[in-house]
Amino acid sequence: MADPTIAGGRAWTFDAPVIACGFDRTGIGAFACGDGTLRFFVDEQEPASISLHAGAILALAVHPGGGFLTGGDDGRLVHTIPGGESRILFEQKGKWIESLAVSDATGLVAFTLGKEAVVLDASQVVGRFTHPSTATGVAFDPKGRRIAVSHYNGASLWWTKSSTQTPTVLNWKGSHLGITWSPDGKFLVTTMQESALHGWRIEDAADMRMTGYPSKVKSMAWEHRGKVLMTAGAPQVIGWPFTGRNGPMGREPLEVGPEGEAIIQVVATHPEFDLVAAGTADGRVWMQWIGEEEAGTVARDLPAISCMAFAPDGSSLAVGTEQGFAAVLDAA
Amino acid sequence: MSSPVSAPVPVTVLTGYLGAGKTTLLNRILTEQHGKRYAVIVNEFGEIGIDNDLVVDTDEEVFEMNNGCICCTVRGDLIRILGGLMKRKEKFDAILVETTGLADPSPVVQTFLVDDDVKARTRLDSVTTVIDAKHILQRLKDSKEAHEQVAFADQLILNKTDLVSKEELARVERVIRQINPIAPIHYTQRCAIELDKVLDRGAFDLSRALELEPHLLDDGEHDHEHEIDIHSVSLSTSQPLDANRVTSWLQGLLQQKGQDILRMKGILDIRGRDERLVFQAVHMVMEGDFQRPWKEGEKRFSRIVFIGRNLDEAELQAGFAACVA
Repeated sequence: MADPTIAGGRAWTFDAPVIACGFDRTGIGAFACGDGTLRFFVDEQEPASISLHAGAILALAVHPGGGFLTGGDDGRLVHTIPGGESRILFEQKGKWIESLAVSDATGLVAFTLGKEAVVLDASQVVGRFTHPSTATGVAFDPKGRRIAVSHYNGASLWWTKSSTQTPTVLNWKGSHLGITWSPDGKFLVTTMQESALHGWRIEDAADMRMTGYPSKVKSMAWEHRGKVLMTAGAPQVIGWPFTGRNGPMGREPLEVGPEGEAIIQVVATHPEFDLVAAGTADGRVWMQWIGEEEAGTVARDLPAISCMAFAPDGSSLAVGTEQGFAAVLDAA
Repeated sequence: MSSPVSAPVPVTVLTGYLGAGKTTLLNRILTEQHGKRYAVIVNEFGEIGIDNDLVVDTDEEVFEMNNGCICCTVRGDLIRILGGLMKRKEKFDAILVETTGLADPSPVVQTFLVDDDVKARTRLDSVTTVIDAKHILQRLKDSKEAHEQVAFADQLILNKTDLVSKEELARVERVIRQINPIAPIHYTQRCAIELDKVLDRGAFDLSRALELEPHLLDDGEHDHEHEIDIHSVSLSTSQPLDANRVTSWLQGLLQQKGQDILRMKGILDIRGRDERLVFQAVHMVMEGDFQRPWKEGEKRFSRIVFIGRNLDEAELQAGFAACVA
């Protein structure tokens, strides 16, 4: 296999798989790895490594109050300020923390823990919500007052600040694996075990089936206006329009990017522009302006792409791979 | 520069009725000095008493795939946990999955046949069923799951042989062979067995398929005291088969009878092909491929073994005979 090639930027090879990557508000980037370390990079420096978890890190999010949150297969949720301290916010041995969500509106943090979803504020647990099967994904509504949790046969909606309540349950048969709330608050979309997405219009629980993928969809991202949901799982990025009352119902999705063979594993959307980045199973990263013909390959011959994230100012794109190769690529 | 993609990790599924000795076998595997690194996935109600970071608890979460196939159930928890284990920096030599004593083994097996991520990173090495020689006959009288666990096995560990007489053991073996004529049997006491006889056997691996010699019983040997509702049918011929006819016959059969067919394994001699066609199925999910060529001078044959319920031997025989090219 050819050596990894990147068009511009910096690259490193870590000795562990990269599971997730992201940037905090100040533009400090981080890679979360399968050996429990978080590796930071600032400007031209070599990444600093800090060991946070006993096993693998399974989830990474930007903390609303600054720094990063990580969840691991050691049952810990850790808050880390780059260059500062790291603090265990929650710990339950024997459980995995595989999914994290944060709300900038309320500063709340939510994560999944077995069949539960747990909500924390700055100092303590404010809610624990139990489901009939494993909670696989969690998302906040735009106001940060509700969470939606995906599980077998649908999703459950909970008010974060109410201790006794019956959840609103949205039913759809099958195993739902991840969840996102539309930025306008009107729709919920889950990824499924089958090669499909499922959506609900929240006001009346109307179902939306989004099918036709050749492979499981493992990544979704809203374009910067919050009106199109960009998704992986096909050789091109599939973008579902969520404008109007009916969202994508009865409409054709956008197909963005070159027609290749390799399945897209990860998608990322630019914070300011109509720009989509895609990372494929065969180690290629390309970016394309929505509506234009030509995609620009920014990296190729990498191991399978496992994660991507744009910097908050859109100047760079962090890319992680299953084999430890990681890069921060020049973007836009 | 990028490291080679690692080979799929072998997974051994351990089934067996409560008290058969699964936990003893697991403890043995985990404590023996073998220099290997194993991850163990146990059910939440298990009794494993080992504090080991590599033991993961799970609640068996079975769900039906939305693929129009009503018996295609898989274990969602297993897909999730196997995916999570593969994210770790350290890699495992093998993964063991313990199922609850009351579990039907088909969802766990089908998980390895239908999920692309699981297929890419792991391979099902074998379904190993631990049997309590003293109590199995009683269990088979009152438990559907006990039948299924024996039927699904790629290999059987007949344990607690010290607790039964020679005659009882022979009887147990006869009953087991009525349900599953192809799985090798290991005889043990306190599950004492060399681990390399249990792990990394490639029993589910088509490319290592054996000659599939069923242990056929003379009719007089059948144990009529037991209401065995699962039985096996073995078909064979030395005439080559027609590829199209056999494919459509098998597909039709699985569509109609897949719920009743627990397992099916076969080696086929296809007219016009120099390689053996090897396949297997679990309920409606079938996988198969052309494997190694027939050797020079090797006697070519086609053989299919069905293990299931309500199998109509005459009908199967007729369907098979119609596939001869």
